[in-house]
Amino acid sequence: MSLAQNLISCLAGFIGMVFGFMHFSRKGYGLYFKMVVLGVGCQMLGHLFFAVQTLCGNGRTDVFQVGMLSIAGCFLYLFSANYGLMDGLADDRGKGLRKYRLIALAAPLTMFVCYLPAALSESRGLSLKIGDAVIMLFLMGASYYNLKHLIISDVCGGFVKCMRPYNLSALMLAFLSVAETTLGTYGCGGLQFVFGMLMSAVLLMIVPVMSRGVEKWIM
Amino acid sequence: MDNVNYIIFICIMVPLAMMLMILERKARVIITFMMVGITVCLFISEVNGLLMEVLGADMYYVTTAITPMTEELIKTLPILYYARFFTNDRESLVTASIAVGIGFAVLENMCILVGNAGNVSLLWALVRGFGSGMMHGLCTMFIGLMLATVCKKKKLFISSVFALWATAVVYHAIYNVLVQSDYKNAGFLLPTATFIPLAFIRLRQRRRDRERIRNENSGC
Repeated sequence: MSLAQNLISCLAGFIGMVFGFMHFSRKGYGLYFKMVVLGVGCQMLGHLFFAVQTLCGNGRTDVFQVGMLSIAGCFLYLFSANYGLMDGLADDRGKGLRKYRLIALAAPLTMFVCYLPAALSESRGLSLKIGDAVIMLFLMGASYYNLKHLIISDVCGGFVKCMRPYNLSALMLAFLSVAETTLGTYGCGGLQFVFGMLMSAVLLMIVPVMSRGVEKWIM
Repeated sequence: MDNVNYIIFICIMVPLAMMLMILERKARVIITFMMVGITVCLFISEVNGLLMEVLGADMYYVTTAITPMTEELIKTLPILYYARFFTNDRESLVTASIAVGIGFAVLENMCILVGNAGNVSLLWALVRGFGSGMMHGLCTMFIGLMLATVCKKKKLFISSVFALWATAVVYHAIYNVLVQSDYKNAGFLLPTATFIPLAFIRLRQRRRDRERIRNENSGC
């Protein structure tokens, strides 16, 4: 990603995070909301890291950089929110919801297929591939729960239904991250820029979208 | 001469350890975690030296990619242990985590001071204090604060720890990149710029709590 792209993504994440912090104190905005806001904040820090590194003229793209951890951290926050807080409410572990659990596996599998060209590329060094593997692990986990909670029938008093727009946004963010990495590996600068901008847009809107979902549910 | 880091370590640790016996519980916890932070700093200096030898990487890469990870990892471990086995009380965890960060920064600053004794000034002290000292305190405080929030739910606790660590690592790395560049002033201002809104929120929270208690008392 270029300096401008990183700065735009950082700004988008910052706005999303500030919006989230301003809503923290409101009644009914629980831990789930906090985890997602932290995820956006973590992603924002990653873009800030890459922007600062490029600005300082010391950015190396051939080796693992700490900024990559922010993507892993972001999706782990999203994973934690869905796995640790929402899944117990949405899924009763019964046979009736089994098909949704199986269909949801499509998301991590598609992610893996999208990432495969980057993993097989010889232009990516070993340290980058190890970093990618860690990111992919969390990204696949988060996308599984995002898709599951997007399609699962609502058995918990409307919460799942209200959170569908948020889960769709989170799923889009995951796909865009993978696509951006794969395109970057093969030097598709133009497409990478478009995907980077789309990622910024999703990063900007994910917290307001979730906030609307929570408000709807509380009402 | 013996390793100067160990000499400083003993000079700081001995009085703290001795006084620990006569301190009350709350103060004892703070001093204990400060001592943990100081010990972690000494340990990490050895680990970082070893990693530099093993990896053979250049100094810049090590300080911006490796040391933030190792330092934040080893600083997190005592807080994690405390949160998992002793308490999930928010105040205790935040206090303990700040003490670890400050203890770490104290020894780090002392060692750098002794290493550059001829070149330091009051400005250097202010920069180190407001820069790296605050940064270490903020990173561990963030982890302690969030651990207190997530440790009540076991499923969430396990999956969140890595995410919290990653956030602290990236923040630490941004600071390290900035202070080694032409924008080093921005680096020194970063922790203070992060601290001011946090302090403002905390002070407002305290005022609200005080008002609530006063209203409750007058209502009685």
